Amino acid sequence: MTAPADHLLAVRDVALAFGGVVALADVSLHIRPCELVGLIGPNGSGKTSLCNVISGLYRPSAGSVRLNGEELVGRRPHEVARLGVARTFQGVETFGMSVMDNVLLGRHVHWRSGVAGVLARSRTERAERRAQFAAAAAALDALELTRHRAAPASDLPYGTRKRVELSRAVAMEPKLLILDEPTAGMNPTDKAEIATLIRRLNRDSGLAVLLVEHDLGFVRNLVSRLVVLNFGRVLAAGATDEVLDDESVVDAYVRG
Amino acid sequence: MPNGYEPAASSDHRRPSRSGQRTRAAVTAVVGAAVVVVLALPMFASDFTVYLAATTLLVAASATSLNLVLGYLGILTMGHAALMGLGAFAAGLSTSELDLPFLVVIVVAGAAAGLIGLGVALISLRWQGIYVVLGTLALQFIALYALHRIQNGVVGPIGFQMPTPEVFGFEINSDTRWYYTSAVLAAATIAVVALLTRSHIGRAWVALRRNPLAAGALGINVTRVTVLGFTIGSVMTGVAGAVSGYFTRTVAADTFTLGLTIEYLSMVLIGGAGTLAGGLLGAVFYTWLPYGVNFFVERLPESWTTLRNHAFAIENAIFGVTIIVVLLVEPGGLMHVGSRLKARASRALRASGARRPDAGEPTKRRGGERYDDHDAHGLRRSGWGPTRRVTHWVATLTSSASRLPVRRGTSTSARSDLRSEEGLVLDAVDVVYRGTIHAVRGISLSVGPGEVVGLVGANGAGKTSTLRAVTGFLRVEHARVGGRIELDGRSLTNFPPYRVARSGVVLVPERDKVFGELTVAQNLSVAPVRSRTFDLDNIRSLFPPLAARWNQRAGFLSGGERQMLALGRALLAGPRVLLVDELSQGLAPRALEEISRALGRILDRGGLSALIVDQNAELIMQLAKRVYVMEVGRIVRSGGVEDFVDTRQLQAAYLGERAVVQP
Repeated sequence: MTAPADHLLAVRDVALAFGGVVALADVSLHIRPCELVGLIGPNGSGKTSLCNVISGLYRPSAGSVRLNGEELVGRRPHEVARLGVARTFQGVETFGMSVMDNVLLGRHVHWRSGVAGVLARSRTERAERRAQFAAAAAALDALELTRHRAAPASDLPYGTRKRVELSRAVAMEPKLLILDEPTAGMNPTDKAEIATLIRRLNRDSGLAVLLVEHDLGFVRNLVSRLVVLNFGRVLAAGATDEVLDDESVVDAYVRG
Repeated sequence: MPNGYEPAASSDHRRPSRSGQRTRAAVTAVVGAAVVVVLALPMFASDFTVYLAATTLLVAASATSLNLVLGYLGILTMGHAALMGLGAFAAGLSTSELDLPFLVVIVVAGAAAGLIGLGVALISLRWQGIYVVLGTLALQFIALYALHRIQNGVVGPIGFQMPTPEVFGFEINSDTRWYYTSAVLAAATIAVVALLTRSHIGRAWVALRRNPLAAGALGINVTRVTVLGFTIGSVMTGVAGAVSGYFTRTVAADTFTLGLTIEYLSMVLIGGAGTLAGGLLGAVFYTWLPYGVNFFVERLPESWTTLRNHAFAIENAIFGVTIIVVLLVEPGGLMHVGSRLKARASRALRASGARRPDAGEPTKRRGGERYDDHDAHGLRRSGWGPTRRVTHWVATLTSSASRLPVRRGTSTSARSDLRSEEGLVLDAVDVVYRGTIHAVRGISLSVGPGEVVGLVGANGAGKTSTLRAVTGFLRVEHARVGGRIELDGRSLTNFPPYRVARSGVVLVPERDKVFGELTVAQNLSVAPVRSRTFDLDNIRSLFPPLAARWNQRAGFLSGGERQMLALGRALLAGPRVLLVDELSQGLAPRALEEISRALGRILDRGGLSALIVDQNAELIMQLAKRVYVMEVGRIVRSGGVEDFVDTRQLQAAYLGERAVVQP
C-alpha cells in the first residue's frame, strides 16, 4: 500500500449490509489529488452504496474512509460536504429554483453571515453576498451556463439540468467530486460535452473526481484509473485500459 | 426581451430587463400609492375602520410569523396559539410583577416564546411528518395548561390587565396611534421574513424542504437551519402575541386555544403559504369577513329571521367554503391569484408584440420577474406540499367526470389522415407549459394494435412531454394539452392518469419510480392485477433477478432491477399499449441487454403494442418496427426502422445531422 500521505481519499475495508443483504464487503480504494478515478460495475454491485458511505449518508458496519487523513465515517452528510466532498446524485434535483439560485446553494458552505448580518444588511454581509454571487457566476461560467442563469432550472432540458448540478457542486469548491452516473439518460452529444467539461475542471482546478458510470467508452476516454465492483467487492482495480482488457471484468460487466 | 430571459450582458446580476423595468416601475407606483393610503387612512376613515385596521395588522404580524414556519419551512405547526400566549403571558407577568417598560417587555416576550420554540424544535424536528404535528400539538396543550395555572395563581380568572404602552414618553392610547404601531409591527415582521427568505438561509430552507438528502450533501446542516427558522418564527409570534395583549388590554389563557391555531393556519393557507403578503391577505380576509357578512345580513328583509339570526353560522360557512375553494382553484392562496393575473397581463403584452416563442429554447422566465427572486420561483411553484397533492387529486377526480361527455362528442367528428383509428392515435397534440413554453407543437403519431413504435430525439425535443400528455400527468403541472389523443377511437384527451391507465395505456416510468419501502412482491401488488395475460408467477419467470429478491425491500434493488420491477408492475396493469420511458437510462450494458431481451420476448408474444421513448438508438432498432424522430417539439422524420441503415444513422437523425440519412 502506498503511503496514505499522498492519498486524498482512502477507503479501507469498508463493509455495509442492509438487513442481511451484503451491499459492500472489504472495499478499499484510494484517490490521489487531481486524479480522475472511475467506478464501474453491474447494477446492484454497490457503486451508489459506496458513494453514500463516502458522503456520509450510510454508516458502514466496518472500515474507514479518510479524506486527507481525516476520518469521515460517523460524520453527518453536511459535515462531509464541508470537509470538501461534493457529489451529484442519480437523477436530478434542482429544488425548483433558478439556475443561479442552484449554484448559490452550492456556495452555502462558504457563507459566513448569520441571521443578524442578514437582518441588519450589514456592510460585511453585503460584501459577502457580492463575493458569493461573483463566485457563483464563475462556476456558472465554467460549465457554460451563464446564458441560462435566470431560467427556472426545471424548465431546462435534462442534459442542461445535469450541468446545473455539476456547476452547483463545483461552486462548493470541493477537494473531491463524486459523480454518480452523470450521463444517465443523455445522448452522445451531451455526453461528449460533459466529458469535456469534467476534463477541463480537472485540469484547470486540480479537482479530483470519482466517476460512477456505465458508458465504458465515456469512462475509457476520461479516467486514468478504474475500480470495478461486483457483488459488493472490488473485482479489479488499476489503469483503465488494463482493467477493461481483463477477461473477468468483461465477463461480469459486458457479457450477458 | 419579449420572450425569454436576457443573456447576462453585465456582471451585475441584478440588472433588470426592459420589461422588468416596466413591471418594476408599475410595482413601485402601486406600492407607493398603497403606502400613502395606509399612512393617511386615519385622516379619512371612521374610528371603527381605524380600529379594525389596527386589529388586522396585528393579526397579519402573527400570521406572517406563522407563514415563515408553515409556508417557507414547510412545518405544519399546531402550537402557534400557544406561542402567542407565551409571549402575551411573558408580557403580562413582566408588567404586573416587574412593571417593565413596553419595549423591554416586547424583548422579554420574544425571548420567552423563542426559548420555548427552540426547545420544541430541538425535540420534535428530529421527527418527520405527522410526528412534528404531534410534537407541536403537545406544545399547544401543555402550554395552554401552564398558562391557565399561571393565570389562576397570579391574577385569577379575569387575566392580566395590561397598561397603556409608552414608547419614549409617547403613549399609545388611541386607535390611530395603535393603528400606526400595528403597521410598524406588521411591516417589520414582513421585512424580516423578506430579508431571510431572500438570503442564503432562505435558499437553504427551500432546498431542505424539497429534498433534505440532497440539501445535506450540499453542506446544509438540515437540523440547524430548520431549528433556526422555527425559533425565529417563535420569537416573532411571541412579540405579536404580546403587542396584541397590550392592544386588547387583557391577557387571558382562554384566548390561545387550538381553535385559534387552526384559524391562523387557515388564514395563511387562504392568503398564500410561502408568499410574503400571504399572512397579510389572510388577515384582511379573516378580520373583515364578519363585518362583511353582517353588512349584508342587516340588509336582509325583516322576515328572514332565520338567516338574520345566524350571521355567525354564515360567516363560518363562508370561511370554510373559501378555504376549500382557494385550495381547489389556487392552492397557492390569494397571493397567487394576483401573480397569475400579473403573468396573464404580461403575456398579453408580449403577445401584442407579435413574436412567436423561440422554439429552440424551452427556457424562460415569466414576465418581469427578477431571476434572483428565488422565493418567487422556488416557493411559488412548490406551494404547500401536502395540500397541493390532495388538491390535485380532488381536482383530477372532479374535472374528469365533468369533461367526459364533451370530449366524446368531439372525438367522433374531426377525422384526420392518420394511418388508422385503431390503437393509440395522437392528432395535432400540443403541450404548453405555464402558458409560455411550447414543448410539443402539433405532433401526430399512431401506434397500431400489436405494433412497436419508437420515439427518439435529443434532450428537450419533447419526447417525455408527449408521453406525459398521453398519460395525463401534465394536468398536474400547470401544462395545457391541446389536440386529440385516442385509444381505439375513444378519447383519452385530458383524462387523469388513473383513467388512462385503466383504459389500457400503461406507462413504464423512468427508473426510481418504485416504492422503496415495500418489498418487490408488495410493489407488484400495489394495484389490482387487471391483466388477463400476466400474473405474479409470469413476472417471476420473466425476470429471474426479481424472483431472487421477491421479499426484499425495493429500495435495495439496483437500477436494473428497479426497471424490471417497473416493467413488471406495468404488465400486471393489463396494458394494451405500453409506454416505455427511457428504459436504458442508467443501466449497465449487461442489465440493459437483459431487460431489453425480456421486453422483446413480451412484445413478441403479440397482442401488446408499445411506444418506446429512448435516447438509445440501438434499443429502438432492436425492438421497434417504426420510428418517429422528434426535434424541438415536432416530428421531423418517420418511417420503418429499415429506412435507417444502422444505429449510427438513426442517431445522426435525431442529433441533427439529417443530411447523412436522407433517402
